[in-house]
Amino acid sequence: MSLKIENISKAFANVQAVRGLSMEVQQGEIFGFLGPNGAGKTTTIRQILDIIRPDTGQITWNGVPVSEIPRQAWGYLPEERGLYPKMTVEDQLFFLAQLYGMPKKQVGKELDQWLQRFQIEVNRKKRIEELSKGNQQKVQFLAAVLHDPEILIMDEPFTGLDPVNVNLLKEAFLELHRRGKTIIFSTHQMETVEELCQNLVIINKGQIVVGGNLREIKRSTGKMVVRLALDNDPELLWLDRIPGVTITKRRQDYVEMNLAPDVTPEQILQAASHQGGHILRFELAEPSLNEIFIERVSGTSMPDAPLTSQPVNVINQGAYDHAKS
Amino acid sequence: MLSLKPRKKETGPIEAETTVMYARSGSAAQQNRRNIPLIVGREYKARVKKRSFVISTIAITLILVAGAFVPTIIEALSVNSQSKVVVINTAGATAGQDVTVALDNILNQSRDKTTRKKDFEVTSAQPGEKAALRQRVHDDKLDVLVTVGRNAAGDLTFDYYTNASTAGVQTSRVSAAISQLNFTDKLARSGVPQSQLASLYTPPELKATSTAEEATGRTPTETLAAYFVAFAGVVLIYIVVTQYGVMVAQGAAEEKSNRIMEIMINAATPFQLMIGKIVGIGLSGVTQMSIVLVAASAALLAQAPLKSVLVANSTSNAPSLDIASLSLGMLLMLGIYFVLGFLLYGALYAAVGSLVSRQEDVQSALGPLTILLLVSYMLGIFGLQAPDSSWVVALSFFPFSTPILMLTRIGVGTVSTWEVLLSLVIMVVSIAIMLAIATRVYRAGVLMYGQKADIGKLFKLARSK
Repeated sequence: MSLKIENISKAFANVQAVRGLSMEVQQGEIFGFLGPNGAGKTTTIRQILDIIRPDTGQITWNGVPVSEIPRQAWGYLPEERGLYPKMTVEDQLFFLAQLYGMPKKQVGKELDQWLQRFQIEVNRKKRIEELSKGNQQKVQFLAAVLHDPEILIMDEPFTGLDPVNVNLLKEAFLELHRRGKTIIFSTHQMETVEELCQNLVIINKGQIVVGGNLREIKRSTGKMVVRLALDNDPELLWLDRIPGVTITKRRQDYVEMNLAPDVTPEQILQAASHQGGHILRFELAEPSLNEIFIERVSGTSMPDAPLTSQPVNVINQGAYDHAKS
Repeated sequence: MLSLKPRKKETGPIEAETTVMYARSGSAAQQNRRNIPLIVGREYKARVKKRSFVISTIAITLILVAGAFVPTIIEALSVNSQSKVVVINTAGATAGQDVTVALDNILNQSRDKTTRKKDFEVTSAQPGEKAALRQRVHDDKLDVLVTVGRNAAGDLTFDYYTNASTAGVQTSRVSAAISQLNFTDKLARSGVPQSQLASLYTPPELKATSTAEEATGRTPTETLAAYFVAFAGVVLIYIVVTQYGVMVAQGAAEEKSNRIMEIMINAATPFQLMIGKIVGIGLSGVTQMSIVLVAASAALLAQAPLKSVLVANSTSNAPSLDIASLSLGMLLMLGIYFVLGFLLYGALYAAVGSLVSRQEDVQSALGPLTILLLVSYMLGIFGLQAPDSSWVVALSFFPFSTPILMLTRIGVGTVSTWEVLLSLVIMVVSIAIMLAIATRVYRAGVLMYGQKADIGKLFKLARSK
């Protein structure tokens, strides 16, 4: 029971948008579909929805090609939002749900519930153009879920919403998840992915660069992140001399390092206690998805703070340079 | 506790790389069948509810209804007016008749003598009053002053005074009467007897037979009605297709520019979206035209009873159009060619509209199409004069001009049944091809933003898969 994308490729006039992409989304999970702008996310989504066809490869839902899945099974919230501005909320939603194949009677029932949940009951008879931006977004979301689809694909569902509405939408996500719907969503907000998704892929230039279970992805980076701070030495330059330690950040409040598999955090702790200062901070952490994303997509990690101060002596300077190179 | 073990992932290449291309038929068959009526309904309602639609319908209707009433009102006003003519005769009798009486008879001979007032009131005056009468002409108290005399050869001479234009209707009627008077006078002086002169102006017995009418089996009034339907049909097809075809293109561009298309294309197929739009907008056009035509026809039909009230027993020399003689067959052909023409052009308009990203660019992108339609309209208007010429016959089988030219040929020319059937087959086949091409363009076009729309792109997308 899964959505299976097998080795799809799609080229446009002069761009290879997707190349040999494969992934699998289990039924009933919330799946993160990540990637930088222009990575081929929208093209892949459109192929899943059978709006365009892959040049090669195939996409199946529970073994059936997506082109043969009834449209009612699909819900789509496109990145570019749009509704008929002159239509009323009610007319608009009735029209779309009926297009997807839901009987009119059933639409009415569902609509009542959703409008209440989203607290836009009073706007029922208003034209879309009369609504606030936040309410338009809610209607847009309803347009994607009202016909009770099995698979929901949401492109950047949380952009442009205030925190209250983001929460409302997350609640709706979890509600749909409880109902057993399969949700695939793309976003640039990595915290949201960490909060909601069991599995994810990150694509870049039409290919998957990272994929799988969120926790395992973090572990598989092979990185143990340690954050350390001593009260008498903000630079901790001696760390550079320990083999297997790579400093990733030197901040005012702590120094962050990655440990190679053969270095244990205990060794660092021991070394720190020999330095003679008080340990203000000693912390083990997984790399954040944000870091993994940036590293895998751009190949470099992003410095988030400048170095604190100039090195105190020439010897240390040399050691620093050596470790860096 | 975190594990540092590197994990092997399953995202590697799939073992057997099968390349499967599947046909679209699968999804089309499963698509909700009620989608097309749903989309037609939405498009129709969206157009008909627009304020501009309501206003333009009312405005056109008012103009046409007013147009129907204007001639009646003018006639009603003019029927009670009478041109006053004074004759000063120094030439004596012509053909044994007093000149004033003769002119009176000639000028008023066409009227219905029982009820209607004379068009001209003809009186005579003495030569001494001439100066005073000319002053009256100058002061608009008198319409026409005619002095009649004879020259040395004994021929009649006339002096004509008026304050109106000498090129007006009044002058031409009086001068025609004068010519007739002169002619009779000359014949009488050359010895033609009085009895023969009386029958001189009796119209001959003329029996006209048209082989074309024999071929179509229509009576003259039916021919006139068919011509009328053909002419109105040509104009109607042109106006509706231009006006509402542009709406189809604008609708496609609008859905693209406000991005509703992204959802629509997921909920329905490009073909359903396109045909729904064409039919829905076409129906709104039919609605507007029906309202206008029914109101205008009712206004026209109301004119005859209205005239008989305002203008007791009016007579009109213009051939009257009898609604009963409008052949049902001709109206049916108008309906069929209108529907086929709108589908063909609608598909083209939709395809072009789907290539445009912004509303403002619709008009310029439609340029070539507008010209195509305008040319076939002009051909139709010329074709009304020469419906059987070979180029009209040839072009009446070219699908983009078939609706207008075939209708013209059926209306005013001679056309055999197989030609009509052939043209219908050609139309249906071209529409099928055009819809298939337009669907492809539409499918690709609606998701394409920011590129310039031109005919070249249209062909390129039509070839793409």
